[in-house]
Amino acid sequence: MNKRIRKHVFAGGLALGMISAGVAMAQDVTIRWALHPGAEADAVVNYFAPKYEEETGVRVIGEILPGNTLRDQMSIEAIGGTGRWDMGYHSPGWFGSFVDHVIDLTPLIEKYGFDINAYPELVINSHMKSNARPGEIIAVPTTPAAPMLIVRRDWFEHPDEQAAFEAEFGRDLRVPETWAELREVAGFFTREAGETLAGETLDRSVYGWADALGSGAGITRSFIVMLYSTGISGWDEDFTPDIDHPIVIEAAEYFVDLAQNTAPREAQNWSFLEGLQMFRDGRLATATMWPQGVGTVEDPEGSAAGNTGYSPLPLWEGNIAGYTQGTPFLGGGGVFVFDTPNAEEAFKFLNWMLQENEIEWGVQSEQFSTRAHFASEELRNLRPYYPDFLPAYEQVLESVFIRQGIPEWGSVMWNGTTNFITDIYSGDLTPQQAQDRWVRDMTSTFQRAGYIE
Amino acid sequence: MARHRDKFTRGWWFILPGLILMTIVVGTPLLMGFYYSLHDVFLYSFNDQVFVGLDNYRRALEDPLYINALQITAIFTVGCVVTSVGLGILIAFLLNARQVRFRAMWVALFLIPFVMTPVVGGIAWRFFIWQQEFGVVNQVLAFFGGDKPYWLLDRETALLATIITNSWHLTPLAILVFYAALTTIPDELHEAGRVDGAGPFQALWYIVLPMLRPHILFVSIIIITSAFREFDMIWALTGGGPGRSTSVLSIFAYNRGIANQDMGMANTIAFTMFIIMAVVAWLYITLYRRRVGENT
Repeated sequence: MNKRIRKHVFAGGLALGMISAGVAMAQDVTIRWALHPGAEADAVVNYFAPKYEEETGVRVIGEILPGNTLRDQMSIEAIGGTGRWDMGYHSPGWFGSFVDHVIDLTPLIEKYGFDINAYPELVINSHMKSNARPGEIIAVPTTPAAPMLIVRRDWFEHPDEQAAFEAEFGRDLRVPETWAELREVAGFFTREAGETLAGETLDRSVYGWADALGSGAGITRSFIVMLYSTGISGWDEDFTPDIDHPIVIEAAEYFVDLAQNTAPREAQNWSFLEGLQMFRDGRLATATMWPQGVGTVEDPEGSAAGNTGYSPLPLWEGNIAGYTQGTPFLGGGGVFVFDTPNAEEAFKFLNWMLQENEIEWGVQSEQFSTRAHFASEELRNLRPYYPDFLPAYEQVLESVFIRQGIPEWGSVMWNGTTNFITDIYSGDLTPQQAQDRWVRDMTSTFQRAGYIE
Repeated sequence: MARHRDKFTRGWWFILPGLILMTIVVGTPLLMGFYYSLHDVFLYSFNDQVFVGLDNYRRALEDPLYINALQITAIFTVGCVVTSVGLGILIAFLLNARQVRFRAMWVALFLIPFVMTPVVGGIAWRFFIWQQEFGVVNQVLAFFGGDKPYWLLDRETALLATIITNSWHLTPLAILVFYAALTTIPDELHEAGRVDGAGPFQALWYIVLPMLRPHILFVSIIIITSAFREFDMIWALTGGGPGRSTSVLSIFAYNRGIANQDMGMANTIAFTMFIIMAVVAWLYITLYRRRVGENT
């Protein structure tokens, strides 16, 4: 082999190697997704990601981050432009925090025929759009969720309890339709160990109502649900706060009374769903439950299985928005796509998972948001309690508050609520003092952000 | 003169690598923190930083929540120092007694809390020690016919419980230092005390404590700085609650920075912590050196 031929062979080999490497790199697409812990994350990691890789060769790595640091980690990586994740999950309340780092999905939605009308209008407004990116779609919903009221149906239907309730309150014992009714019912069912309930002597005390009341996220989530039911929005389209309304103080005083007199003290350690075991174990008559907790409540090992009734949250009588049922904020979350080279591949995966496998997504994640989910016989028959749970949950989603997707929402509304209710609950401030401070802080933040003079 | 200057210059060369390293790992974050404290910096619009001068400091000092956090931090710090140093001296003194056997084993056992990650210790104490129904403390109280308080859920007891838990974590450091120091006290002093009729506690008061003063200074400074910026143990125990009863400055700063996404204010709080700590440490060392100098 002379020198010239050797050169050609070498150049050919090099070119072949480079082409092979290029082809391999093109095939080796890996999508990385930052996920919040939960059944839906497990469904992604254990079911959809392996299935998608098998079908397309595209790898999807779901990284489940601790819920309380998910937003911070994604923010920091996004600000740093590290491209660590191609997709991120978050509650729409904080979508505004990411608007500078995520892509407009509208062209991809049109290109791949993603049907946004599969979702109810409220979900579209809440989980796909943001006031900070008007006219664009910046996320797709995966787990829209709102809380509901659960009750021990067998206790409510017990003749002894019905008679005792009627004797005390002069009306039938029924699932509370207003918050005032809930307070009566919760007080009625709050009993010490040794007392009788539904014909049985109690080994341990029973409480009338509970929600997660832990400091920070727990008590905030619990109260803000009630607050939005009063018809409060936080501020109007001119960024004038409406939290100075007297109904805010009324709600706070009601909440403190309900929580301090009918809920277990342990609830002050609960952050989200952990208290539902107490309902499962027959120690709560009613509770506020996010849909992710239904499996816990209906655990066959517990006494609530098959005895749980589901309904929307009670109505706040005299609410200023004219709601006809309790109206919590629409929580849960959606997925946005970061501005990375894999953005389009990431959206293709979402389209495949949420639309091409729409019912399968419901089956695997046990999250329901599209019209098809609620209409599906397959889903309705998936669990023995779904025929009761799903229609009630569908009703819940008909009246939910859509949070304003501005970047400051978390600061002025979520943390504003935290400070407001924490100080009233602990007695550090009077409701009026706490309200004045909240209005002042909100106004100051809007001024600093340039929304108002 | 020239030789002296050479020696001086050579000394600087020796410490230069350490100095550079310290400047990078300590000075840079400190300067950046100070820089951010002079700006409006929000995580959601991190690149739109607006210079506001000392306005963040003014807002912090006018905020009753900051003052509240400062007071709680002060109580927490003093509580931890008093408890840890007091228990440390006592346990080290007992360990050093001639009758005690297997001292190495005891020292090793006492060190376990110190090597445990604070957040793990916090969770363990929350669920096994302070838990209302099954916790060790309430089981003991119930055995003697007492009530079962909600230690971490009552505003009256939560701070005390966090001080005790954090002292459990810090006391081993005190034990280790004091025990090592006690072994250096000449036996003759104890012998002289015994001849003069001193009992164990008189020996502790008149012999041991004066000899331990420099070590008490050292341990106190370490514990003050540790307790003053404590976060993870308290976070694991109470999350700053109930209400704001255990919301120390570090938790307050975290909430401002992460929950509110107001990194300008978070850095302001952190920087005030640095200033307070620097002043306290300087005062403490200065005053104590004078006393130690006078009395030893």
